[in-house]
Order: sequence, then C-alpha cells, then structure tokens
Amino acid sequence: MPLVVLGLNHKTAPISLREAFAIPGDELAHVVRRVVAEPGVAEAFVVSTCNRVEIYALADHDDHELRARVGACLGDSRALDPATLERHGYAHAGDDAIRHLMRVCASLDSLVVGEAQILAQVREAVAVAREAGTIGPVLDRILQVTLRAAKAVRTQTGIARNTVSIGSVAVDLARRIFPSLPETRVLVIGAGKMGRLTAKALAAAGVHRVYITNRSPQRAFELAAEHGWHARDQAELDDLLTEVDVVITATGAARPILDRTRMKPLVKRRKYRPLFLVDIALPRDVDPAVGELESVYLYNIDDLEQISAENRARRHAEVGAAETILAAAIADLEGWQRGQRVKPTLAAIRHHADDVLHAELDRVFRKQLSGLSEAERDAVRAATAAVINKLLHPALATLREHAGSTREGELANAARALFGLGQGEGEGDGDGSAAEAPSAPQTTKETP
Amino acid sequence: MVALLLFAAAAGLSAAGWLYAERLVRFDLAEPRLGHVFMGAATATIGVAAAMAFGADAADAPIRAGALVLMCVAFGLGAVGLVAQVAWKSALTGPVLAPIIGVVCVALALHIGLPEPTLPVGGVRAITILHVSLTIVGFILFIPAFVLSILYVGQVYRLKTKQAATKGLPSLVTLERSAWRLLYVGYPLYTAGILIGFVWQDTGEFHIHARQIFAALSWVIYGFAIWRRVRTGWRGARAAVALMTAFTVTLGAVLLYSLR
Repeated sequence: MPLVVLGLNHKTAPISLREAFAIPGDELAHVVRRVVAEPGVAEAFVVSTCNRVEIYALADHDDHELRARVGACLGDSRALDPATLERHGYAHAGDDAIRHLMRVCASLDSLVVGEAQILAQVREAVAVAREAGTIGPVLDRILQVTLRAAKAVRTQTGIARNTVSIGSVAVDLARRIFPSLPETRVLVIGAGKMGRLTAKALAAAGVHRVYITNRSPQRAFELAAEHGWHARDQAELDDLLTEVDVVITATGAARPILDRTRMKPLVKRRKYRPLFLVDIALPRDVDPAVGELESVYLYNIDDLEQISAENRARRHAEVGAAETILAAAIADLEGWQRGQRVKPTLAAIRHHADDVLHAELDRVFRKQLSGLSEAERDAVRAATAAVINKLLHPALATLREHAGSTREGELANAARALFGLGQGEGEGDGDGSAAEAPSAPQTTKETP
Repeated sequence: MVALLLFAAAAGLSAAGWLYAERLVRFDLAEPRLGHVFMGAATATIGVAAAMAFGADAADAPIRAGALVLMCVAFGLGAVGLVAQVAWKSALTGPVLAPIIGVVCVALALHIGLPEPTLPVGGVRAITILHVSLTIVGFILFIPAFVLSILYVGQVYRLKTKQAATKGLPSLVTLERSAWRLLYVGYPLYTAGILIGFVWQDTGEFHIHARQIFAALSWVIYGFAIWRRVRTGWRGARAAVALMTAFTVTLGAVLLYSLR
C-alpha cells in the first residue's frame, strides 16, 4: 500500500493561500476522518502549520483520481477550488512520500532549517489522528521510524545547534558574556516590537528582572503590566544604565540616544562591569563609537542578522549528514515493508502446518494414544511442534531473506505449490498490493 | 656576540608584541604587517644566535646545553607564532608568544653575557626553602590566571569584532573572575616569597641580579593591576593584557633563576 502525500508549503504557495488552506486545530479530526472515508484510503493524518498543510494517506493504489479525491478533502470544507491545490501544491507517493515525511519531521524542509517546532507539530497531528482512529499499523510503523530518525538528526548532527532568530542570537550572546541569565538585569528602552521580542526571548531564557522605560510613561506601564516587567521613568536612564547588564534599545528616535560622551563616565561608574547593548532601532539608538568603550559589547540589528545568517549557513552545512541518517531510516523501513509483503505466505504456511498437526494429533489421541494423560499429551504436542518448526524454519527463512528481491514471486509460488496452499492463501506476494493489508481503522464512511 | 644578537631579538620581539597587543586591545581586524616584520626579523636573529652558539665562536665561552635548547625552543616558537599570525590569522598567538619569546631571549642574553658568580656551596637553610616554596606556589597560581586571561582576551576580541564564539568556553565574567581570584591568592604568596628572598639572600652578601629585577618588575605590574582593580573595579581586555604582561615578566625571573 503506497503512502501518498498531498499538500502545499512555504516553497510552493504564498502566505495568503497557506492561510486559506490552513486547518484550525479543532477541525483537524474531522478532516482526517473525512480523508479516511474516501474509498481506497486505509490510514491518514493531516499536518497543518503556518508553513504547510499536508495530507498523508495510506491508500491501496495511487492515481490521479485518488489524489483529486483526497486533495478535495482539504478544500471542500472551506469552499476552496481543488485546482488551486494542484497549481500550488505537490504530491508524492511511495518512497518519495516517506522521504518527504522524514525531511519534514527532521526540519530539512522547513523555512528555517533545523527549527524544533515542526517535530512537535507533527506529533500533535499524529495524536489527533490516533484519537480519531485513523492511524493503523502501517502508518504507525512509518511514523515510529520517521520520528526516531528525526530525533537522531537533531541529536547527532549540528542542524539545531546554532540559533537563528534575532532574539535567540541575543540570548546566545548574553550567555557568552554573563555566567547566569537569571541574575542578569535587562533594560528595554522604547516600545519597539523587535525590542520587546528580544526582551521576551531573554525572559524566556531565565532573565527575571526586566525594566522598561519609554518616552511615554503610560505606554511603559502598559507594557510592564502586560509582560510582568518593571516600568521606570526615563529621567532615571543614567542610573538604570549603571545598574543593568543588558540594554535593548528600540525607540523611534531620529538621533542616537546613547553616545560616547554619555556612556564613557557610565562605564567608570559601572566599575567596568560588562554591558551588552542590543540596538534594534532603525535609525540606530546607540552611536557606534560606544562599542569601542572598554567592557561594552554593542550589537545592532545588522550584526545580529549577520550572526543569524552565519548560523543558518552552518545548519545548511549539516543537511548532508542529516540526509545520510534519513537514508538509513528509509532503508530500514523498506526492509520492514519487504518483510510485510511475504508475511501472508509465511502465515499461510504456518497455519497450514498447524492445521495438519492438530488434525493428526487429534486423530491419534482419539485412537492409538487414547490412554495418555493430559501431561503426556502436552509433551507429545510440544515435541511434534518442535519438529514442525525445525522442518519449516529453512523454508520460511529463505522466503524472508528473498522478500523484495527478483526471486520473491518465484519462491512464494514454489512455497504455495510445495505446501499445497490454495491460490487465495498468501496471495499478493510479489506486488505488495494486497499483502499484509492492514485492517482499515474503524471509521464511519461518510458520503462525500 | 650571541648575547648581543639575543638582546636585539628581544628588542624586535618587544616591538612586535607591542604592535600585536595594541591591535588586540583596539579590536582592529587589520593585519599587523609591521608586527610580522619585527617578529620575522627577531626569529631569524634568534636562529643566527643559536647557530653561532653551536659553532666554533662559542668554544671560548661554552654555553650550557640547557641554554642552547632554550634558544632552539625560542626559535621554533617564533616560527610557529609567525605562521599562526600570517597563515592562520590567529589574533592571539602574536600578542602571547612575542613577549614570552622576548623574555626568554633577555634571560638567555643575561645568562650568557652577564653570568652570575657561582653560589657558595653550603647547607640549605629553612628560610631559603620558604622563599623558594612561596615564590613557586605564587608562580603556579599565576599560570592558570595567565591562561584564563588569554582565553578572556580572545573572547573579548571575538565579541567586539562580531566573530563566532569559541565553543565550550565559560562566560566572559567567569573567565575574568576566576583569573583575578587566582591572582588574589597567588600575589600575597609571591610577595612573601620575594620579600623573604630579598631580605635573607642565601649568598650572605647584598647583590642585585637581573632575576631580582625581573621579579620586582612583575611584582610591581601585578600590584598595580590589583590596586586598580580594587580601587576602580578595573577589568576588560587591557586589564587582562596587564596580567599577561606581568606573567611574562615573572617567567623571565623564573628562567633566570633556573639558568644560573
């Protein structure tokens, strides 16, 4: 049964389209049930994030008609044209679909390579599908291998090692200067959005004391109340600059508010304690000459962007190593799938042997060995079962070994002929279409 | 002649060290070409001095094997330092190695040119043991402080010039605090060691030797740095460079002591 993926992402569709196709969390279960209700679809889950909307469906075949029906599940509830999905979307099937899923989970297909959210988002999507009863044994196995491989990519490569957002770059720099972020005091000058985001990133990293000062004290009080910070009067700015360790400036001032003349005596008053200045304002709030002062580390938005770009490049350099891990996982999955293809024949041989054994034992226990106690009968059963196992083992092992090879069909036919199995028993070996067809999850088939 | 060449090399290395350190504390990314010229010339001079020391000219005034080995080490370090600066663009190698090699050259030149009189043979006095022990313990504590200062200056340089961090290093504040704490413990011991050695010299006569000047100079530099630190909270790259300089001078005193 091939895995089919249909969807659109940040590479193929503009944000307006992604917004239109995005599925709210509370509708996800309904959509995934709707997908499984399509004829030919056995298992499915749906991933919907700000950068991608994707349906993963395990179907009994893959053709244009099936893709159109499954794709329609994305659009019909919001009256979207299915042709839009065809124009701006993509579809993969079989190994390509598995590779795509692995790349998505390992964050190789993300807007920011190596970001951590996508793995959590896929896990959430799978949890919703599991609750909706649309995950069966095959998708379960594929997801197990995929999520394990994605975790290995994160831990065994440097793909997630270097931070790339402006806020996290600032946090990293602060960590290089100060030994303990919880003891670090941060001052936000101005109410600019980027400044607030950076301060929030520092607060999320453990900073407890964040002060904010603004030209409009009212706005400073509002923001302080909103984020749990402390509002201070701008008249106290010099005292604050002496006291704090990190300063984030994000005002709309046309000229620098912190220049060398103002900062030089403050550096002495600070007893040369390090001061990390993050100037996110445009035009800049801090005169570049301030960065030349002893123990002052000044970074403006361009500096942070440059570090972010370098870190992104470092992450991209790890993609090759990540792909190697994924290739090994795909090979592992292929091996499992091959094993699944001969499973019906193996099971049929085993059942046939068991049936013969039980019939013969029942016969002799009724006639020649009727005087045996139950314990003695158990001993006879165990001994004959062991003989059967030993006799079957080479045949079953050979079938397993050649699963997926060019000889698979020939050996499966030979086994069926040699063991006297009917054509219907174990059928499907060789093309993989009906073999080990997982029972479709118990879902209500809706009329589309 | 060998001593003169070593003095000349030391002068060149001092100039190179100054130019390198100046660039480091100004956080200048430009290549210090003049520093390379001085470092290259000084290294070549050390090579010539070593060759002469091995040659016939030195036969009249034999140079001890230890001094010869030290000369070769200084030459090798100079060459490595130059390659690191020029080829690998290492900003720290020059400012660290040039002064150290310079001090080694001065110590060797003084040892060869102005040999100290042989010490009278006598029993080892308890006061001498105390003097040597305290000085050595102080010096041992200065070693990690010196290493931490190098790491600190390197990190400050990278932060100021917006370069990627060296992975796995503690924060700047941790590096700086640790170096100074070692100094706060080592300096009183070093002071006591110097004082005891100065007051109760084991020769019984009062002499001022080069090693004593080196020790006194390093004591003054360390003392000045600590005084500024206590008074004004002095820290930063310049303070760290002061600690590195003091250690380099201390190293000169230790070398002269070992070579006598």
